[in-house]
Amino acid sequence: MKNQSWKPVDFKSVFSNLTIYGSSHAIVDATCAAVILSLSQIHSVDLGGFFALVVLYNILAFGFQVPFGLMIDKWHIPLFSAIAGCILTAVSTIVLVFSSIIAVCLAGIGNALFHVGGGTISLNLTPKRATAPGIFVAPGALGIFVGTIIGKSGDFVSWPFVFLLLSLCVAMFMIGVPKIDYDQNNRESRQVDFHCLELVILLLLSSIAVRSLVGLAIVFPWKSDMILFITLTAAVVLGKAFGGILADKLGWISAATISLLISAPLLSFGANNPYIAIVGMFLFSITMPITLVAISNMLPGRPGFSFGLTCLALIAGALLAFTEFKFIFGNELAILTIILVSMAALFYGLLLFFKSFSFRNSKTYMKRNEGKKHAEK
Amino acid sequence: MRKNKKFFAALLVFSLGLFYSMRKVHADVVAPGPSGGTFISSGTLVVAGIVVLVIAILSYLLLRRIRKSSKKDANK
Repeated sequence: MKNQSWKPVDFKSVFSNLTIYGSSHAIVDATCAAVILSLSQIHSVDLGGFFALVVLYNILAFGFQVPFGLMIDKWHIPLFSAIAGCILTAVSTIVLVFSSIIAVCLAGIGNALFHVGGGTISLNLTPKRATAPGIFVAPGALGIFVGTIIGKSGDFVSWPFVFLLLSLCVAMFMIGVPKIDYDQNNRESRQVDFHCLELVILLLLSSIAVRSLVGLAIVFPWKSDMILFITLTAAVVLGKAFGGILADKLGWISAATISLLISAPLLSFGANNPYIAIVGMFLFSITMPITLVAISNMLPGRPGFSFGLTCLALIAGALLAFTEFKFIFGNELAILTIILVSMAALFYGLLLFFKSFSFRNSKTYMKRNEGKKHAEK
Repeated sequence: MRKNKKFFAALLVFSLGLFYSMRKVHADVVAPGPSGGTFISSGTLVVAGIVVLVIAILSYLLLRRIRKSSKKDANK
């Protein structure tokens, strides 16, 4: 797999890669959600056992992306990882009938391998920019939504998932992968001032963890209305997809801080009103690709590890939402405070990020990358 | 070095408190609805917390190594 056919990242390649990997992301997430939620219907699992399986899945799917990411960066195997992830996820749907724990393990490991492989590729489609990673990550929420509906309905059938996943594997193999920068000591990295590396990454990761916690802790009482639930999912998907594009156009700091600042009161005081809350969730999701790409740019040549770190922060926040903290953070003022704290962490983290590249703001950073792109052409 | 020790001590105290609170979770957390105030045991959650903490510490140590090695490269 090391001798993959490298292709230049032209518009056609970016478009085809994002279409295939974005669709695969939605299908992988849908399959995993459907497998998990079908467990209690296929096997006689009590509430405690079901909870344990959900936690096990989350740990494998999110926590293990760090070691898998390091592995991909070392052996340069993102395509192999994405394909293996899809295959393992497909196998989990078949194994589900025989053993719940093996199905959960396969789904968790498959999900982790796919995410970190696809994430590595998406980070290199529009290098240093948030556009492609945002579009790659966005369909995940749609997949979880569809998978949840299928899993809860009790109509789970494995063959459509297996067929879709295997077809997407063939498509991934056919389109090849873009050129991926694994050079950890390139000229760019030597220009970075790394003295606050851990602090920048900690600040960015803490904002991701808070976003994960808030996303799970907020209760929307109107979510049982299917049309509103679909609109909410669409808002999250569009927020992540357009977040990257908006951030690259407007500047990362302004896009991230303004969107979080507006979303804080909307989500904390307007959760009962579907229209206000949906706008709030759209704005809240915008920061996702920004944090991902900022971390990746701080760690040149390590896209897999960077992607894994963001997922580790997601699970750290999600684990808190599995405890009694969920009720503490269910309070309006608590939600407002933690979103504002997360905004402050993100703002300071991004400021330090641009400082470490000796740029005063994201626009100068973007302009320089534009200049480099033209020079390369 | 002293700074690092303080950081790890604070992290350990925070984590122990967190894991203590994770021993049992309200059934509402898992399945929202009329659970009648029941609690379910969550040993897996504690193990999960420990796994995440270990991966986080190892990642932090790796980041530190990356910073140190990049500093060396810059001085060359």
